[in-house]
Amino acid sequence: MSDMTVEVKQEPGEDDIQKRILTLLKEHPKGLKETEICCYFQDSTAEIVRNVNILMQQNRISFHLNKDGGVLLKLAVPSVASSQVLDIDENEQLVLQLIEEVGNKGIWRHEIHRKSKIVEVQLNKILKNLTTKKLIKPITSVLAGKKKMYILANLEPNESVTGGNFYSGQQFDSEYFKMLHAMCYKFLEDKAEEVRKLPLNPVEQRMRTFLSTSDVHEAIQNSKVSKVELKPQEIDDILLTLVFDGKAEHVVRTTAQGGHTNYYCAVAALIETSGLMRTPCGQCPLLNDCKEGGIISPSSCEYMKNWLTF
Amino acid sequence: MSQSEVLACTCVLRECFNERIETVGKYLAENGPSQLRTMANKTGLKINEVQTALRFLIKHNMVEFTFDSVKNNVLYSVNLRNIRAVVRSDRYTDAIRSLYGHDAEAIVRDILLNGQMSLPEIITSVLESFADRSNGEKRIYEKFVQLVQTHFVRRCPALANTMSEEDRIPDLRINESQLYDVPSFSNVAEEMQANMQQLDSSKRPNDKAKIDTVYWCVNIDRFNEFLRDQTLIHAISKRVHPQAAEIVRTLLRRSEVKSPGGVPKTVPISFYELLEELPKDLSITNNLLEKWLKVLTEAAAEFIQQEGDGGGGQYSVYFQRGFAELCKAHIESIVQERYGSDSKRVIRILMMKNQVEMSQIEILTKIDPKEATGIVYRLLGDNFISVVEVAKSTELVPKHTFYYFSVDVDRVAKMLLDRSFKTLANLILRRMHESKENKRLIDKEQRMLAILAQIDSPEEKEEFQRQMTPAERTQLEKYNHAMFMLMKAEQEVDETIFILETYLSYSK
Repeated sequence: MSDMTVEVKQEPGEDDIQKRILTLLKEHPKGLKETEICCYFQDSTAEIVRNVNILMQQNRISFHLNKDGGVLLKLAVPSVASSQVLDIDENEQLVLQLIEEVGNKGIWRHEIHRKSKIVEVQLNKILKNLTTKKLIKPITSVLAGKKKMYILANLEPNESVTGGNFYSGQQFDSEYFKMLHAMCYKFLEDKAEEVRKLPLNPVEQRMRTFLSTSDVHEAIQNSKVSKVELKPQEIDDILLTLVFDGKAEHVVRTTAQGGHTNYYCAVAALIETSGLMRTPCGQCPLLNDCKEGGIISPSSCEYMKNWLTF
Repeated sequence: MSQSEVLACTCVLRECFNERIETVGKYLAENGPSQLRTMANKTGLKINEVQTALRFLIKHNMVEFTFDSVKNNVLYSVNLRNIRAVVRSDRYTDAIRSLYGHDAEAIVRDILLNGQMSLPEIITSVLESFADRSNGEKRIYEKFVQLVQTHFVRRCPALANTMSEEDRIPDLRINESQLYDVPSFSNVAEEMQANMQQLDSSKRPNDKAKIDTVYWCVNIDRFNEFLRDQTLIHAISKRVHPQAAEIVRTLLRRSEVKSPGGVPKTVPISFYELLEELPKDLSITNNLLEKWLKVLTEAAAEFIQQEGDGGGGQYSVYFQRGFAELCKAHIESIVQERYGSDSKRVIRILMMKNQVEMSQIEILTKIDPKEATGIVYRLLGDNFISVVEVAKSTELVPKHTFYYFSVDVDRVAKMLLDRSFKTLANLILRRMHESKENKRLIDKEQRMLAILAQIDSPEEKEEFQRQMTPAERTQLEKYNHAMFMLMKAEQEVDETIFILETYLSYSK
């Protein structure tokens, strides 16, 4: 590979070759091998190699490792790795590029090791180095707390990693969620109660009982219970848990613009508590051992005794 | 026929009848169709004791007999469903009272108490409970006819004319067309007259029933169908609106004559038929009916659907789907009461979506992942949910395997039905235990009540009542309260049993 620190003198006429190389690479965004580039042009291999080196030095093209371990040349995207005057070697640059590629999703340390094929010990040193230079930072994902993940220093990790507003740190904030859950249910119930009092025909009553995601979102914002602004998708998630609780019904309606809107309404339970659970036997963990004449029996049952004196 | 069902039935027999009948019933339930001699040998009872018990059980439609021509003997088999109908008898009589009044209730109660009765017997028995007996026979007869026409009461199979001396068992048969054939009032009156004369002349009760007497019994299937309809109507009343429930009631009434029994959904009824059939006092107009049907097909989609467009729209009530929803509601309620609301959410998701991975459960339920794992494994351990392993690689390495969780509703329903039978048995056993413990007090109270009825003066009454101490009175109150709780619980558990077994009968 070329030595990056050596300046290569540019000769006239090479400009043209370079332009052609750049155009070619633009047409092949997935990248090309050096040998493939040579096939496209009639110029000698040496010339092409020389110009590729110049372009690389100018950071107008970059090299990437593909799956087979071969090298692909691509048009360089202005990146952190190249735009700064960095005092980093090529391995560190490679690692930085890998981290940059995944954007705000973050990349697992093990993945970096797998893709860059750098030895563990050296990789650790590189990561430490880059962190101290404030180019990258470590983050932890809510889905896998033990995995060490890295992200560019200036980016914020995205929702799937942080868990969104419902997570404070690594923990799911269940108190906060339960409060929002109860609030949303109250909105739906109040709406149902309000509509029930109106003298409407059944179809209209049913239509009016439904609230859209944005209605509920607005209501939550207005009530100012949450310091953080919640996204509509998060409100949808809360309302869906109400559906999973059997407390709400979910309907999708298409709008005039062709989009879909989610509507929810409070729904009454189908049955009162099951008869089986109104007896102590329903709750009893020892039902299988219970036998008349045995140590555990209906005649001597403590649970029954307490229940009968209720 | 599970062990717990057998246990529940033997408890019913013991409480309602006596231990000998319980022993015979229990033997048949545990060992299947058996001969008389085998029963006598294995139960330790004498042949005539077994015969008495069998006679009683046969009369109550709880035991049937067949002739096994291969082994050349008579086999007796038990009908557990009819034994359990005793538990449900209060619901049956309540249903009849709400439909046809007190007289009809009295008829059904008497037939249930006696198993099989002839019409003169019914009329005589019910008449005794009347304060005003004027024209009583005619009133009872008319109510009886109404019950037979609506198929709540039917004829028992009668002796066939083709019987001969060599037949080992009575040849009992009946045609479909004869099941609901009531003799005219004049015939009945004649028969009753003849019975009375015979009674007077011979001065002893007429034990021997005439060979051609027609016996009547309660049609359990019809009652269960009625309860099925009631359950659906009640659910719709809660989920949608009471007025909507009335529309469904009318739809069911209209279709009950047309639909054969045991079908998963009713025959489609057209809009105009429905409009015609609706009771006038509900004042539901054409427009309102249309609106309610639209709401019903959306909000109660599992219970009622539009089948076609003819006649203004054809609508059917779905029994199978409706009961599946009710069964799932019971499963959810049971999980909620035993394990908590979070567990209810988990099991609902698994019942709504067929196969779900743990990560999906965590994301959808929004429960703390550690807790969610705990819930899933607890439910798995108690057999509410099951897991399917799909390996990514050829070796079953946990790290490279998909684990899909799901709920097999049929299996869970069977498990809960089993539990319900056990609970039913326990409630009956506890009741018998309480009665035994307080026997002395109960007897004392009965004696006191009998004597008090004969005392006239209030002072003497008060004096006499002091014979029962306050402590005894408190004890008696506690006992009465306990009995009330146990009876109520029994009815509630039976409601759960009804829904689970109806669901399972449709899903076979």
